[in-house]
Amino acid sequence: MSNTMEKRLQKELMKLVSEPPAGVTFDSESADSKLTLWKVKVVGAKDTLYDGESFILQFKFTPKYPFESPQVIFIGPNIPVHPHIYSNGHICLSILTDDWSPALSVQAVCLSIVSMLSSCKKKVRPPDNVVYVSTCSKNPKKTNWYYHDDSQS
Amino acid sequence: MPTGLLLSADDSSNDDFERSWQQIEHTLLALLNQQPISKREWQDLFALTFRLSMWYESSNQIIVDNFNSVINRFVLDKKEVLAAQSDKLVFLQEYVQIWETYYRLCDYIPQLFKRLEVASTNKSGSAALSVSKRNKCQAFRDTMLEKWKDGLLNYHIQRLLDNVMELIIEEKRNHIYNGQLITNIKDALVHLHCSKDKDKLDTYQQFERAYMKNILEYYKLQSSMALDEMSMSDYIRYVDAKLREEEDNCRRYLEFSSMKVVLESIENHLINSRKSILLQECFKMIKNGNTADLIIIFKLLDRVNGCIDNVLEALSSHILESGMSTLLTDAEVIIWDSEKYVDKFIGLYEKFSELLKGGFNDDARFLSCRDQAFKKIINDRTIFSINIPTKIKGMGKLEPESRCPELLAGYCDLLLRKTNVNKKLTSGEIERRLKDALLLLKYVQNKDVFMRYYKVHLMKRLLLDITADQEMEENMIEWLRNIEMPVEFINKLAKMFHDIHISHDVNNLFKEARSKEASDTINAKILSAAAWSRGSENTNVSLPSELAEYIKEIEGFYHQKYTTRKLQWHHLYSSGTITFATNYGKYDLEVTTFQMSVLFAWNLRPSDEISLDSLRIATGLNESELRKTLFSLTNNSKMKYQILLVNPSVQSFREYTHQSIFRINRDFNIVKSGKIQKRGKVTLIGRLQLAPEKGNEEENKEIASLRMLRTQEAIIKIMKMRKRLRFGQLQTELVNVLKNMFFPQKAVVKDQLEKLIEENYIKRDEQDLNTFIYLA
Amino acid sequence: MKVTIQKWIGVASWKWQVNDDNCGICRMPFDSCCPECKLPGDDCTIVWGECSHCFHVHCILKWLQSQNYQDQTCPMCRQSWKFKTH
Repeated sequence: MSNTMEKRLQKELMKLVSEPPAGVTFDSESADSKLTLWKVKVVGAKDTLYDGESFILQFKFTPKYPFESPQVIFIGPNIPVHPHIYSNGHICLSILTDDWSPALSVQAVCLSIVSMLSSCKKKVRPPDNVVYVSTCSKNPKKTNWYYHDDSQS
Repeated sequence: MPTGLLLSADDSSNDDFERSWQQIEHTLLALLNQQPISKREWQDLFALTFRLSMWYESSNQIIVDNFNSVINRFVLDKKEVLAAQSDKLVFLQEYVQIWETYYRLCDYIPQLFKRLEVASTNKSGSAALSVSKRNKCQAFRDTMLEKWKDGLLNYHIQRLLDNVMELIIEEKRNHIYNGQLITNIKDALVHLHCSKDKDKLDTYQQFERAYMKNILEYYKLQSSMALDEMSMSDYIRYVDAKLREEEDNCRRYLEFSSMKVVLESIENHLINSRKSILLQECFKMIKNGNTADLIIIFKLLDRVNGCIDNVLEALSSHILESGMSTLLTDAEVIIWDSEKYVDKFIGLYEKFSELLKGGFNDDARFLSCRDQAFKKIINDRTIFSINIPTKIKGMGKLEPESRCPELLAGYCDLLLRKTNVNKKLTSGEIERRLKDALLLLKYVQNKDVFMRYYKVHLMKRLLLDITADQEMEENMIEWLRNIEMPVEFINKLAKMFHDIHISHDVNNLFKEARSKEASDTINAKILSAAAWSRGSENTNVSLPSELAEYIKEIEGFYHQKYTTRKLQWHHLYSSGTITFATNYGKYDLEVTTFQMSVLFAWNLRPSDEISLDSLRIATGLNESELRKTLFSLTNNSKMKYQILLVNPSVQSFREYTHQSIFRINRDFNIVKSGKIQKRGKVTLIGRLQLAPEKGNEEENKEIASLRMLRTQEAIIKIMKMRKRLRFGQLQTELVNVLKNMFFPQKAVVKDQLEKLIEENYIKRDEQDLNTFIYLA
Repeated sequence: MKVTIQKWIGVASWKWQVNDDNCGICRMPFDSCCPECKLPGDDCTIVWGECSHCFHVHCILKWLQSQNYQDQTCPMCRQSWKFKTH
């Protein structure tokens, strides 16, 4: 394990526990000892389609973090119904692959996802959901995403 | 097959049998009596015995019986011969002579009967056929040896032993040597055993017992006499010599198997039974450093089980006692004077090392005993201690520790800094002394205290430009590495050197680039803040306007070279030389920047009397720094005349009040050998900045917090490996992991455990609260 | 009578002049070094991009190496990365 990954994740963990942003809660015990697997709870914002719903996001980190993006998916019984979120929990979000930057963080990713949910106007699955879910790899990062333009959905 | 010899058993052949046996018997007796027989006669014997054995069915038994009676008669005959011998020596000689012949024949005569099927070896039918010829001979041989033992030796054994023991004692008493005869008798007894004897050395053991008894009786008498007549020092040499002599004797006169037990019983008598006298004597020798005798008595006591433990105990308490009494008698001096402290301890160390070398041959048990004792003295807190808190916030319980590491660091500083001590010594002497300090450091339990103070001293040496010998400084780093000081610590020191070199280069660039005036006056040390890890001192002070100008110049230069860096000044560490003119002359003063700032307050109004408050405004120093700085100028214990005068005078910097009035001493001068000097140089930097203040709270707090951190780290490291440990085991492993730095006190360990439990790194076992479990 | 300065040894320490306290990549303070280094200072220096964002040199180099040569961008502003030369 690299020092950079370990130290950075420790810092992020401390910050997320001590000053969590609105709509995000994190129990440090849900992370494993090497900090490579986190589970973060996000809550739908007030006055949005997801108001009152809560979801679990799973983060998987490789030793190359933060130079390589984490693998982020929704897990658990409640996967948000959203035009960019597949029913297997995979999320179509550019900062998780092509647009990743080491300046981003777990917190930044969570906030992006919350805001993605908040801006949703209609709760539907992506049009290719059935085909994608039956053919995709377990790891969403292996998918060649064609990013939907939000303004069109 | 000579079938003609096979005759039927009838009366006429009976006579023939008888005649033939007599021929055999005749030749046998001739052999036994060492009368010459011809080759022919010897060969005939074989033929005759063979023929007889075929005579009747029972002829074998008859032959055996006849043979027994021949041997019997011979042995009894010899018994009488020996009995008639009245001379002791001749008796022994004859015995040996008769025996040796007989013993040789024990190998030959049985050969005659090797074809015989002897009843005694032929009890179980077919098995008899497989009995080897050797075994048949063995039976005859055994008969010969048994007859000798029963018929002859048993009768003479007491006389034999008495006589030979007399010879042995004679040898010791009158130096009459009969070594060969004694050995021969011993061998005669060793060899006398039958093939069927369970304990082959049965006969010899009577010899061994007699030997032991006689020797012990001899020494009982002799050693008591020796003890009465001789001095102790002669007595132990006597015993030593005797033991070596007896070792030789045992080797000559006894079988190897009995050496140990006999020697032990001699040792037991000569040493163990006199153990308490010898031990007492040994303790006296330790006290008096009498190595010549010690080495002897040590060898003696080391022969007996358990004695050395007593000596070790005595040595340990002796070292402790003399160490502690040295500490206590010179407490007043040692407490403040690191030079005296190290001198005293190195003196002690050398004294004991000599004792161990001369008296105990540097025996490992004694060396480790010395080390243990030294550890105790060095880490003793009776006369001086520093307080390292075990907790930082709240109650802050103080746990006193030996001041030794602080003094050792101070001593190193004394040697490495430009001081009077340093000036007087050659570099070889300095090196030796530094190594002395390192030697003592090895015994220090809490090396982190040393590291802390050493680092502070080094920093000041480098910053104030008062390192006496750069090479020695760098050697010292290597030596510290060699005694296994923690690597991080060594690296930090090395980094400081590295950084000073860089700052030197920057300063040279500055000199080349800038005005002549500035470059001659200014030496800027621009350091990487991180390498020195102390950035937050309060360094507020108003500088003389020239200095402020120089600083601007340096900052300008530096910013041009490194646009992305900004500078922070640490005036607590800066210093300089000023010219101070008085009614008597012009003097150079080496001062700290704070002192400089204070003195410059008078520059525009040299005759003024200035109050404490005005000085505070003029210098911008905080009150406590100002008071300390003023005190160094009004009450410098090293100077006859002070730079500043204060009214009313004070004994401590705390005594200055708002009514205190300060003025320049215009009559300041330097006196050398009774004469007032017009020029001269004085340093006022002294203790003020160089030595960390006694019991410096800040330093100790930092040591304490570092300890807590290290303890936490170590606990995690150990628990990660072991997964599950009881408190006791954890403590033991912690001591081991941290031994190069400090001794982890239970209170600290418990606190840190609680913290780690709170943070979910470990938990207590629910069944056993004393067991901790690592949480993966 | 007057006091004059002959010599002065001034002691100062330097710090990076940066807008942010921490490196945006490793989140360690600029005053200390990147997580892979032991000692801060000249060995683990800080570099600036033309976009005026700065990082530990070791951190930004790792990031640049993980990207295609053509589209190397600043982690903070996504402008294409060019080292600022002073």
